[in-house]
Amino acid sequence: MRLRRLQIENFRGVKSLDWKHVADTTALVGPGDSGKSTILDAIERVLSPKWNVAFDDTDFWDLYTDAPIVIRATIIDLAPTFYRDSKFGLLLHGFDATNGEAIRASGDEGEEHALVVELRVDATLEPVWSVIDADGEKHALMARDREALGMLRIGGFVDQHLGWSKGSVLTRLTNGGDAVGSVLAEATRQARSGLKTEGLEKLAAAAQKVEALGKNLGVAPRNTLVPHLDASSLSMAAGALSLHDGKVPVRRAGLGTRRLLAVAMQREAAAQSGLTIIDEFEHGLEPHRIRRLLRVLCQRAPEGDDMSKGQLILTTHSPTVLHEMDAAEVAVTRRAPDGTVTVRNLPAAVDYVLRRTPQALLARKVIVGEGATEVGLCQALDEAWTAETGASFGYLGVVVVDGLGGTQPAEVSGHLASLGYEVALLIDSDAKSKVNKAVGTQVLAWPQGLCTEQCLANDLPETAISQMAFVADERGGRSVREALADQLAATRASLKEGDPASWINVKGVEAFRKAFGIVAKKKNQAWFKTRDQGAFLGRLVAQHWSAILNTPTHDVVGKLRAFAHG
Amino acid sequence: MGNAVVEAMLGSPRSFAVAAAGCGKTELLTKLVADQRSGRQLVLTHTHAGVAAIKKRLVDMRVPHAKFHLDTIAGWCLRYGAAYPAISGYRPGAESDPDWAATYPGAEKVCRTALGKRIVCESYNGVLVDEYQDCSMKQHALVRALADCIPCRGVGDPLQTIFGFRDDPVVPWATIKSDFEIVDDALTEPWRWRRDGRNAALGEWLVSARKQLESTGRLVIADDAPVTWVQHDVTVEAPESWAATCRNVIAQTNETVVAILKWPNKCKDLAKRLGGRWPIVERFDDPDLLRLGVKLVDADGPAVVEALVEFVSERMTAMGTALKTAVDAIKAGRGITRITKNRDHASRLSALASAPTPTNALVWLEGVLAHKNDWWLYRRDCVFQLREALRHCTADTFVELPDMVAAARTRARHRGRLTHRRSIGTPLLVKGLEFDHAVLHWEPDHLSAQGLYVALTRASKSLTILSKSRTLVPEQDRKAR
Repeated sequence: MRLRRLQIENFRGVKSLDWKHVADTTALVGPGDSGKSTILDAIERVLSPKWNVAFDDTDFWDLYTDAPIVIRATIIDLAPTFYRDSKFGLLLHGFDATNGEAIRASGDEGEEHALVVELRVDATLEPVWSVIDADGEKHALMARDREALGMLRIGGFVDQHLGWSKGSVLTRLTNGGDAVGSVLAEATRQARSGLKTEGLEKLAAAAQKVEALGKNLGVAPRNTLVPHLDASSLSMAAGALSLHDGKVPVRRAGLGTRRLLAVAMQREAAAQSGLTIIDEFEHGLEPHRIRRLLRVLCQRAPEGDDMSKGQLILTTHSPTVLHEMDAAEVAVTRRAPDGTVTVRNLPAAVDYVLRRTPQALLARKVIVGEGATEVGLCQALDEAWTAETGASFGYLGVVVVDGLGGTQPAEVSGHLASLGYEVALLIDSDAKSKVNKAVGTQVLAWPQGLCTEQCLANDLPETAISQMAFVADERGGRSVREALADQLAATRASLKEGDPASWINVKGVEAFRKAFGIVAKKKNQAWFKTRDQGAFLGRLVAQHWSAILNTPTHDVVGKLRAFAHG
Repeated sequence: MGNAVVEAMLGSPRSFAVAAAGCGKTELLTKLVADQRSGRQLVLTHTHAGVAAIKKRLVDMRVPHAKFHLDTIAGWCLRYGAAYPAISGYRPGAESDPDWAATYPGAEKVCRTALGKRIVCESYNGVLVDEYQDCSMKQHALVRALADCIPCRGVGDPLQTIFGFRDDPVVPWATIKSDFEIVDDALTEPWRWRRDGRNAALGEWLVSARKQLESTGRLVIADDAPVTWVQHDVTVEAPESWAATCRNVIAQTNETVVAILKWPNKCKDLAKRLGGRWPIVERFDDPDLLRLGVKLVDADGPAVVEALVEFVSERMTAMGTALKTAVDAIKAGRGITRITKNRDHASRLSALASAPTPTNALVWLEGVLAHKNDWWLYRRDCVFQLREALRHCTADTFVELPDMVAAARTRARHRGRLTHRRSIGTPLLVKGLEFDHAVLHWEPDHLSAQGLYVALTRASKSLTILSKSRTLVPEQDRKAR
């Protein structure tokens, strides 16, 4: 069974949702309160094997009980028994993979078949499960049939599945689960027969007293009154029997271990076709366990591993989890103020973000820098602003992403904006060709097509310029001096080695600023094209912040700060 | 029944057992369904009565429900066709009157798709078709589609083929022979006649009669045959003597008796001669009743009275004549004040004429039906269906009547036939019904060999045959068998 489409109306924080193209593995990410958990709750309820699920008024959107809760799941890859005409064989739809919708079945070879399952709850709070046929007619869907769908939710509380309680995975794994009842009944009997009553003189004396009192009023017991274990208070529910590691119940093991065990059992119980939904996938798991578990669950297991089928939908806040995913496996949830929730899959173009900066997808705001320089610059500025205000990017939910130059920064920022993130794009030039794909993005560009180094060389005070020259000398050596001298139209000898401070005076500071900016931009002179050097520049900007008022640098960096801290 | 037949049937995925009447056909079906090897079987038959009979036997034999799904071919096809209208090209219209011509090909189309095959394969391990000789060509085509997915078995008797369909002919025996592996003479032991209190000798004689019919195409009633032969020449003797024979038979017993003759009009004639005490076994789909329902919708008061009285009097002795004066008076717009005979009925008719409502029609009809001794209802089914339909009408006009008639007819079809102590019917209508005693009126060349065989095998205790000669020569079946 695979879920391919999920529709929700009026459930909790979701006024409406139509999520098509649900992938075989999906990691739901999105800011808090964007509906991730509600989506998992909805899937759990519509496919729940329980014969009844409790609903109350708070499950209705905005507590408005006049509009029913409707959760509709379109599922494919149905179990063979579902094709019986006494089950759902005559209620099937075809499935249009392109549009992600159920359509009328054509009956043709190779056609995919879908079943539409609906859970509806109206003001009576009575949940009604049904299967909807192609004519929109509803047919009852029994708990027994829902159980065959093999849905399991691994939430924060998995202990139930580690015991032989009703509906637990362990019970499903047990052939002939009825044995549990007789084992427990026998255990109760043995507890009664094992009780030694000899040591209970004080209790026995009280019993004798009661017997005497009774006789006074004409109550004659058939035997003698004695203390003994009461079978009714001993009676054990099925959950009393649970997995133990030696003498220690497994529920005492670490959370990660328990979750892993529960997942492993579910894979086995659901055999080929289960849907596993997991809250906070990383919860309680070390990174290497996260990777192993994902490999097993996401069908990336080595060949021959039969635990490789089924569908997995999880929520996560962990870059480690995202790092293991393909873009197509990550979906971003957003909730509009009117309660409309959207789930969008990541476009392939953002795949590298997932590889390099997975945390960006967990952020609220993203700054896409042109390249390494800009990323370093932002990081240094963040340090400075954190020292000043106490609020770091981490605290503010801001992540900086390397745009890798060219048209890519604009493209990525456009995609991220369309997924609902607030995005700022920090680039050299706002030329149309570079930013036309950055739809919905705040574009922060240095004026007149200047690059970062140029703009800074223009605007920073003289002391800062000599610091920059110093770094250039250190990193570039002779080729730097020669290139600068050529640019200044001075003799190469006039730029003395090891004394960059003096270079400024060769043709005056304004000429040097200009020449330095031009040379810094050249491909073979990329002194500042690393994250570290970018950070160096950022520190300079922060250091001289009050001295560069009314400069383009102040303007752009000021806007950047307003974006991050706003 | 020996297990050899069961083995032979299960041994082939396309087997067909030829089963003579009363020789354990239902028993065989039940055994095939109950067998461990057969899995879950789809059991299809033609009529609701057939479904009920097989169901009863399966329940009596404690065959688990999971072992079978039992339905009429029509009902099953309707389900499959309606489930996938885009494939079947068929949408059920009014439930009461499905378009059968489109139903079978529609279901066949569904069953020929990849999806349909998958559904059939997951749902059943095989299909068993009862009374195969009554399958139409379209039904046969459907069974062949099913046979592409699952083993397909049939039971039937070429000598009992008498159903006919206007635009969908019965599947020829030659086609069955080429499509199935025939287990010949699978069921020839006359079990029905061997039970306690039945006429075992008659059973044995029927086995030999069947052989005679098959090999010579005629039947000679020997002097020592265990049947009562009454010489009766229709060209010489009055029809009254025919009725007298029936009265003689009924006078000697309090068990069920059926009189069988070929022509529906002669059935009516006989019913009248017998004073209406012998109801006629009627078709479930009598078009007269549907026509009446439609007619009353737009009719004015006097027209309602006339149509209603005419319809009922065609099914009742004497009533039409008795109420003729009243009907004439109402038609002419005169009052009925001067009518004294049958005054109650006349005044109810008058009320109906002035206020033509289903309620008033029902009041009159129930009054007439409650009135005994002066007249008798001999064609009951349609009148009872009319009464039921009138009871279900809620409006003040007859606008709902056509739908209610159709619904009543569907319910009647599901209930099956009620067997009266005395019945009159044609072989077509008494087919599948069982009686204790039968009186067959043979007129030369009137029945086919199949009709004759069906008529001969209706009674399990005694058989009376009226004919001119001891040699019965059936009408030649022009279709080559």
